[in-house]
Amino acid sequence: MVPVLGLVLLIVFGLTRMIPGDPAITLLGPGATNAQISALRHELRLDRPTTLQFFDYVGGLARGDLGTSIRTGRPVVDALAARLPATIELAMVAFVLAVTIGVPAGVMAARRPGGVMDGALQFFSLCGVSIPAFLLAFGLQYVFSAWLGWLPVAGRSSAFMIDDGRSGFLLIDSLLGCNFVAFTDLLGHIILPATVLASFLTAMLGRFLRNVMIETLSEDYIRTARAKGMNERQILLNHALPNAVGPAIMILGVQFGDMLGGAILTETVFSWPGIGRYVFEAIRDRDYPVIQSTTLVFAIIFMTVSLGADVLSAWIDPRLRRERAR
Amino acid sequence: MTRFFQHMLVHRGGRAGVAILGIMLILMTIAPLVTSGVPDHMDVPRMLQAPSLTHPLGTDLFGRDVLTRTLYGGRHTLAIGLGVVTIAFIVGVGVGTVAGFRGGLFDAVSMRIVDAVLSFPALVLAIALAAALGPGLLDAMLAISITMIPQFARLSRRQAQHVSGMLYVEAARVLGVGGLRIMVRHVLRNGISPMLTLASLSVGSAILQVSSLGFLGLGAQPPSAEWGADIAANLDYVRVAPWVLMSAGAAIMLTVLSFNLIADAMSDYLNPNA
Repeated sequence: MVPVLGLVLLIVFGLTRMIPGDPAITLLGPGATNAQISALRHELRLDRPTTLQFFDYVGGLARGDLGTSIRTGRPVVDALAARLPATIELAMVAFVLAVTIGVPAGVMAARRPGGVMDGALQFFSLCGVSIPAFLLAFGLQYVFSAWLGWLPVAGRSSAFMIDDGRSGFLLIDSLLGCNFVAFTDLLGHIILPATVLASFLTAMLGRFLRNVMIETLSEDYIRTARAKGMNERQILLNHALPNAVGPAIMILGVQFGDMLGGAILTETVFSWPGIGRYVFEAIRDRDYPVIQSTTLVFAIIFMTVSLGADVLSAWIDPRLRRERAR
Repeated sequence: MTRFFQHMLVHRGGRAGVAILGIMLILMTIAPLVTSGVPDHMDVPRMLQAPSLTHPLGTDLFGRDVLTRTLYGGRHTLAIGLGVVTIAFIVGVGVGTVAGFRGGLFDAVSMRIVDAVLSFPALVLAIALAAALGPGLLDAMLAISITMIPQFARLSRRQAQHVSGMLYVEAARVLGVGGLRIMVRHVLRNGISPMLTLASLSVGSAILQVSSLGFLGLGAQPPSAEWGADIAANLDYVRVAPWVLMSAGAAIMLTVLSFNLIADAMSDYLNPNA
């Protein structure tokens, strides 16, 4: 774990060093004076040996210094703290959506392999993994906002809503404050982006669960359960499903990374004020320190989630624990 | 090999995948015959026209013919997708096979690097690398292949470890066959089939990532035709001219779908029990 973390930091550190030519000149753009360039070189510590630069960078990270945005001149860590709750909220809603749709779909499809439900799952999951996130986003916007007019096109809340939240998690804040008008408004805004973000995860989860369930349903103990007259519903929910939960959590942890990548595209299309949109703005402005630290934050979130998924699945499923001990 | 193609055509999904991909490839090949052949030809007075006989899929914001751009853009997108997977396959399988066959320090070090790259969400790392390398098609290609190398390395390492324990490898060694020869002729050749399935799956996701980078402005630069970049360029006109977005979008989806279907059929062929 520790050497891997060191390598991750090295890669993130290397991102700004990969910019062709002198980073200081690229960052300042054409028309910068020599004095400005050498000042920035000094500020970025580019005039020091590379090894020392790396340790400077890691030391800064340890003190909570993620660098300074070139466009705004303010610490990146402040902007991230302000935008992180929006992304986490979106990801949580998408995650819940994926589990509530993906799990029943997978179980129902496994009941009759080759049946109508199975065919439908295969079809939709193939479409779900094949459609680019930004395209699905435009499709939903077109149908539900422009055409039917049911849902708002973009943004996190309507302009007339006053943000009285404390934590930045607006859905929870409005619910705790019993502000149901705000809650409905926020919910209306989050549905489309969360659906887009959930589509890939739902498709993967549904397909995976179907395959694991079909495999489990051919085991001897399922035949025993059938022989002693247990009904099909109990067999599915009490015998087969619990055996698929451990592996399913592991796959969710792995696929979470794709969801984070999808967040950049989804937030861009829906003008969602989270870190995904922040990355897009940083790419547009060539704001390299921002790109660098958002990449690090995404990696840390992903590592934490997959470690959590590993621990959780091993705790739930003793078979995985034994496999790993070997 | 004949058996493999037969299976592809008997398998329902495989047949559909081969058919879709085949039609797309044929259309892209005969593009100069069915279109004007100049994807960059601008005709600003006729911008954003609805599909008609002269422009079967309409025109975009510069009055360029959408059908021409979609077909020529497909050549780009498909070539990048295949290029990305080729780079990732050669580097990943090379490193993984040596690591699995030799073991030792090389194995330990290379696998830690693989773990580190896998700690990043793939698209996030590809975006960061492409942004650092500078916007452009080749840089985007390189960025995406770097994120794909680890999967090939891990899979081929496991395959190499598995095959290295086989009796025929032992026999070859006893007969005095050299290490390199064993690695290439026995270990690599006998373990390669799951890697080919992964490659087919990867072409699909590579095309998705290429178009995502293009959409964010990090891939192909205007005026060259590429599906993701074309979608991004016409974004402001979604409401008035949805056909521009729709044709490039449908093209991306169908191509990725066909590669996924082919990968499914391949994995069914390689392990029929699952």
